[in-house]
Parts: sequence; structure tokens; C-alpha cells
Amino acid sequence: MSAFLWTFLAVFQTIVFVYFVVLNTYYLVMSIFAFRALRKYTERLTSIDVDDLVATAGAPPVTMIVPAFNEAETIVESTRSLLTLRYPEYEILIVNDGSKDDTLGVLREAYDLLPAPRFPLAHIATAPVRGVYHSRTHPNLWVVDKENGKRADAINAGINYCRTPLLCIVDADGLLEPDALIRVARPFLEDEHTVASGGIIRIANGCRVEDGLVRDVRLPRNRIARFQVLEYLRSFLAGRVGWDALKIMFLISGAFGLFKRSLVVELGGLAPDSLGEDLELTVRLHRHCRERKIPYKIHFVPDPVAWTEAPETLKVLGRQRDRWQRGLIDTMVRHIRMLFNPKYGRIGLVAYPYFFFLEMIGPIIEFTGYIVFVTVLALGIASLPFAILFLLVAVLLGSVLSIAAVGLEELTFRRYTRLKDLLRLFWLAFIENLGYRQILTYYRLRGTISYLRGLDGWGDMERKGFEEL
Amino acid sequence: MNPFDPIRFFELSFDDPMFRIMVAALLGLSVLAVVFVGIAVALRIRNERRLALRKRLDAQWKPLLLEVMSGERSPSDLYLRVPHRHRFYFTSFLYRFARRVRGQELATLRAAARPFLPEIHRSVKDGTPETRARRLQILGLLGFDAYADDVAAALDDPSPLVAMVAFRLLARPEHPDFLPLLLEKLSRFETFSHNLLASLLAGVGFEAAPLLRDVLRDAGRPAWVRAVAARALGLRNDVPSADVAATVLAEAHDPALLIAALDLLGRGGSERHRAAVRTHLRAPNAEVRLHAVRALGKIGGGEARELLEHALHDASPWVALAAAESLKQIGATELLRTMAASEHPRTDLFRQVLIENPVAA
Repeated sequence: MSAFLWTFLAVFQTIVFVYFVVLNTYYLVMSIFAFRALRKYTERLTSIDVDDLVATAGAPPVTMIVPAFNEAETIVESTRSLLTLRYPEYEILIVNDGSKDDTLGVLREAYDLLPAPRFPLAHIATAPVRGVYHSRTHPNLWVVDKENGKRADAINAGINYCRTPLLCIVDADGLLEPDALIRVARPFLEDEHTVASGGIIRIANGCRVEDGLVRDVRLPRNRIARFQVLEYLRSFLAGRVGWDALKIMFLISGAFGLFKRSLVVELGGLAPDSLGEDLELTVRLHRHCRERKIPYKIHFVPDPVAWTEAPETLKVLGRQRDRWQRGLIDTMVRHIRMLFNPKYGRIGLVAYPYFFFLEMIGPIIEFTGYIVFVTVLALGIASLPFAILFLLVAVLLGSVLSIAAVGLEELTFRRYTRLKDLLRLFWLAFIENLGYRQILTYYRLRGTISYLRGLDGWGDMERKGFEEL
Repeated sequence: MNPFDPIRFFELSFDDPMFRIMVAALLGLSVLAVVFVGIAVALRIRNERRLALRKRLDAQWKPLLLEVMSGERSPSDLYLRVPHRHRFYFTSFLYRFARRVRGQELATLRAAARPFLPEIHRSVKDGTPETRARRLQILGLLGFDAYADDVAAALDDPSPLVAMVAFRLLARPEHPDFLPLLLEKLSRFETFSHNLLASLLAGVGFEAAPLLRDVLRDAGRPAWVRAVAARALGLRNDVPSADVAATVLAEAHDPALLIAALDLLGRGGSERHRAAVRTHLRAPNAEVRLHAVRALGKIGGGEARELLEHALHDASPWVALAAAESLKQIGATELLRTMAASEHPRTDLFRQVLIENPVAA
């Protein structure tokens, strides 16, 4: 074999090795910070009385903006969950984004909607609005019917009609717990500089849902959804709690995020041509405030919960991850000047580089690494014991980090009350490294290629409805 | 290992340090995985046991407590019936009930808690801020009279969490005497939501009004503190504050203070204050104009209708919306109907106001 190929393989393996070490060190550090932060937070929860918070006159009015595209299966139930929120003053604004199914019809029937005049108070450009409806049974429920745009376009239409100081973006397939809104609004009460806060997203598949509320928390029966439970625990309890502790909150999930309306309007709303509009908005908030030296805080709060329906087939999961990856790359490219730029403080020096190198470029390194790994093994040019060792260490390290995330859940919120579910999560933590992670890496790589090819499709999510989960 | 020695890179054997490192990592990680699983399972078992114990204790104590509440048993009896190791949990148990009762029932719970509190008091300054906050909450609710000084001292606790718990405990109608202290310490709460602070201060009750008025009047104080005082007075619908608010409107420039003063005037002002509001209808800041319009709508009077009608055409749709709502409030619905039927670009806004009760912005 040529010396060039040898050198290439060796250099590449070194890159993979460095990536592997940096990525896992990062996860480990985040888990440690998350552990400390969550311990403090659970102690703190004992001194927080939700009734006090609800009764406080200082809680600012909120508009819940719910972009809905082909959500006929879940929209009635998720709206019911929004109507049960414990919050002093809030409106619900569902934006029917040109659904091809009967989303508007089911809403109209369930909530007795009638056409009503409503004047937009902001003028962010969106696809044309066809009409506004008001519920006769629930005075705080409004529906904006508009022509199809992307999700960001629908949210922007909602922002135009928002007239409260705070706006909360929630997914139409999500179920909020009754205390979720007041809990996620708490940072706004405790700190005048708060401009955004986000809550945790949990997987509703497998749970028993009644009247818009998750009554019994169980692991999904579907294995793909089960893996996502673990993934979300890792991402929220280890990742975002860690980011929050380090004050580098880089992403407020679009499935459940609370924002200061005036600032979002000042920014021109969400980027309508972005596929990762939630990430893009959060990054833009950081950038805007830091460039103008506006004091601001963006928080993650781990106890307010939004339950969501996770994909149960590889096809749908693939489309979702493909889109997330394209959204990530798009955001990274838009805000490239933040990379290692001290002007943006720890956002530019820590958070952005992490997303850039480990989340954006990571799948390329990882996927190519798998190929090279198999190739050198197949060609018989690698030390087989070393290769097996490396593989085992990688699998075990991944498992340890996932187990730690399950441990964090056990230390704090303990939503999965059955011991069987806990043990299953441990088992999943091990086996997810043997196939599931590689599949995700492939989808993310595919997303990268789609981005480079200029594809910008959203990809449909097939809904089953909460009763059938 | 030299990564640029390609041949060697692929020929690692057990003698190579890298190989040994990997073996050590494998063993270490295996141990770590087992330890983490063990800790999580142990946590699960501990939590379940703790939960079961707490359920058992709650079931044991509830009937006793009901007997105390109904006067069949002396509150001091409970002290003898609660084992030493469960004393802190017992005070938490009492605290849960105490949060939901008032008057005589609360007094009985406080009497039941009294013998348990010295132990909590001894450790109120120890531990993490979260622990201190929790202990302070229990002391403040169940033993305020005996430990008022400790609660007041906690306003200076290094942790904002503990200080805020103290603030909440002191800002109650039962003890207005602490208001001067709260106002004196207000500056350390500047980062908290000013609406929240105002709401807490308003909770002190009418007795707080004279002091809050003094604060609002005092141009030497920071504008945000005066704005908080104005908001608190506004929440109490304090009519005598209207004159102070009018004075503030004449001399202040800070938008937050102007807005708070306008809101206050809207709640307690009369037609004689209209001139103070009027100047702010042309303020460069749209939010100030909006609140001026709202205040005017509440004050009303002959000239108000004309001024509000003019505000319907304000560059800011927020101001126009507030003007339409105010016109509706003063009964000028016919004018709104005419506007709604006109060619005005904001007809939807007028129609909207005609048919709904707005959510406050």
C-alpha cells in the first residue's frame, strides 16, 4: 500500500481519536456541571410554591403561539392541554399554516370558532392571512388561518397578532403540564434581564394521556421512540442544564420556549427561510444583545415539561434529523462571524465552537471514521485487538454518559416510576451504541449533504394522536 | 505514540503505552458504568423507601393534627409523639398545611410547631442557599413572631434566593412595620422583576401607602425604585397618590417611572389631573404614549374623547389600540362603530375592540 494511503489513514484515525476524546470530555464536563446544577435546583424546588407564583401579580401576560400544519390528529387534545394551564393571564393563538388536512375544521367544531376581527400589532412579513377566528367557548383562544409558509412563517404570523409582553412558542403536537408555563416564566420574575427561557421536552409515546394531560408516564413500546427517550434525557438533563450552569444557553427549543415579545419583534421575528428557526433565533438573540451590549439572560428551566410525540419509524426519524442538521448548518453559516470571536464572550468562544466542530462537522468525521475503521479491519492492516478495544471503549463511554443522564433523572424528577422502566433505560444506554447512534450519524450526514445540495424541504411528521401512543 | 509513524500506528500491541491506556480506560469505564447503575438503583430504592416512610408518617400524623385542630388534643402533645429523627420532616408537614389556612387554624399550627422551631433556627444560617431558604420559609411562616429578627436579617443573606424569601415573608399585611426596612433594602433586588417587587410591596396593604408615596415623591431615589413604589400604589388603587403621580409626571424623564406614574394616575386620578397626562400623549416613547392614553381613558371627562380620537391615528398601533379601548371605556362606542365602518386602515382594530375584552399588555 502506498505511503500516502498509510499516512492518510493514520492522520484520519488521529482526527477521529481527537474528536472522540474532545466530544466525550465535553459530555463528561457537561454532566458534571449538570449534576451540580440539578442538585441545587431540586433543593430549590422545595422553596418554590407554584400557588405563590400563580398568585403573584407580577407574572407578565403571555401569548401561546402554536404553529399547526396538518395537526388534525392531535390539535384538539394539545389545545385542551393549553387551556388547562395554571397562569394568571394568557392567550392561545393557534396558527393554521395552510394545513392540507382538516386542522381548522376540527378546531372550529371542538371550540366553536367564529370569524373575528383582530388587528396585527407587528408587521413581520408572512404568507397571507386568510382569516382570524375566536372561540365562543374559550375567550382566550384564537386561531389565525393563513396560507402555507414554513414553521417560522407561521410563528411570525402569530407574533404579529401577539399583544402580551411575553410569547411562548409551543408545538402543536405537544402537551404542556398545567404548571409548565408559570415554571418556565419564573426566570422572568427573578431577573429583569431575562429575554428567553425554555423548558424540558419529554416523549409522550407510551404514556397514558387523558383530557390533554399525561396521567401515567411509561416508556414507549416502540424501540425507536424508546431510544429517543434516552436521547432527550441526555440532551436536556445533561446538555442544557450544563449549558445553563455555564451560562452558554445556545438553544431554546421551538417546542417549548418563552421569549420577550418586543425583542423578538425588534429582531424581525424568526428567520422565515431557516429550517432550524429555534436555534437560529436563540443565536440571533445572543448576537443582537452582545453586539449592542444589552444586558440579557437566556435560561433553561428543567422542571416545566412539554410532552411530545416522537417519530416511531426510521423513515420519519431520518427526515426529522436530516432537517435538524440542515437547520444547524444554516445557523452556523449565518452567524459564522461569532466563531472564536471574543466579542461574543463565552457564546463565541465556547458554545459556538462546540456546535460548529462537534455538532456540525462531527457527523462527517464520525461517519467517515466508521468507514475507515471497517476498511482497515477488512484490509487487515489494523491491530485487531486495538480496534476491538477502541470500539469497546467508545461503546462503554457512550453508555456511561447515557447512564449518567438516567442517573440525573433519578436524582431529580423521577418521571419513570416503574423499576422495570429504569432498568430498561440502562439497557438502552448500552445498546443504543450498537446501531442506533450510527443510524443517527448517517441521518445527520445525509442532512449535511442535503444542505450542500440546497434541499430545503421540511419532511412530514406522521401523527398517531395521543390516545394511540 | 507518533501519529505520523503510519506503520507503527496500525501495529499496536499490548506493550504499547496506548494499548495499555485503552485497556485501563476500558476497565475504568466498566467500573464507572456499574457504579452509576448501582447509584441510580440505590437512589431509586432510597427514594421509594423514603416516600413510603413519608406516606406512613403523614397517615400517622394527620389524625393527630386534626385532633389538635379541633381542640381535642393540646398542640404541645405533638412534640412528644414525634421522634427526634423525624422532627424536621414534621415541621415540613405542618408547613404544607399552614400554607393553606388562615386565622385560628394557622395559630393552632404555629402553636404545634413552636417546640420544633429552635432546632431549625439553630441551622438557619448553615448549608446551601437552597437549604437556608427552605428553613427560613418554615421559620417565617410557623414562627414569625419569635424569629422576626432572623427573617429581617436574612435580607442581607449573600444569596439572592434567601434574601427574596425573606422579602416575601416580610412583605405581608400582618407586619407593615417592616416596610421601611424593605424599602431600604430594595436596591439589592434591582435585578428581580420590578412588577414582582411592586406586587409584593402592594401586599403589605393600605398602611404602606404613605411610605410608598414618600418614596415616589423623593427625586433623590433611583427612578426604578420610584417606579416600583408607583406600581405598588397603583395595585392598591391608592387615590391619594394621584397628586404625587401628577407631580412626578411633570418632572421625571425616565420612561419606566413615567409609565408607572401614568398607570397610577389612571387608577386614582380625576379630571383635574388630565393636564398632567396630556403632555405625555405626544411623548417620543410609544410606550409612554400608550400608558398616557390608557390613563386618559380612565380619567375620562369632556376633552378626553377628542384627545383619544386623535390617538386613534397614532403611528404606533399599540397606542391606537389603547385609544380605541379607552374610547370604549368612556362609552364612545358610536364613534368606534363609525370608524369601524369607514375606510380607515385600522378598521379591524376598531371592530376587534368593539367585540372583545382585551388581555392587558
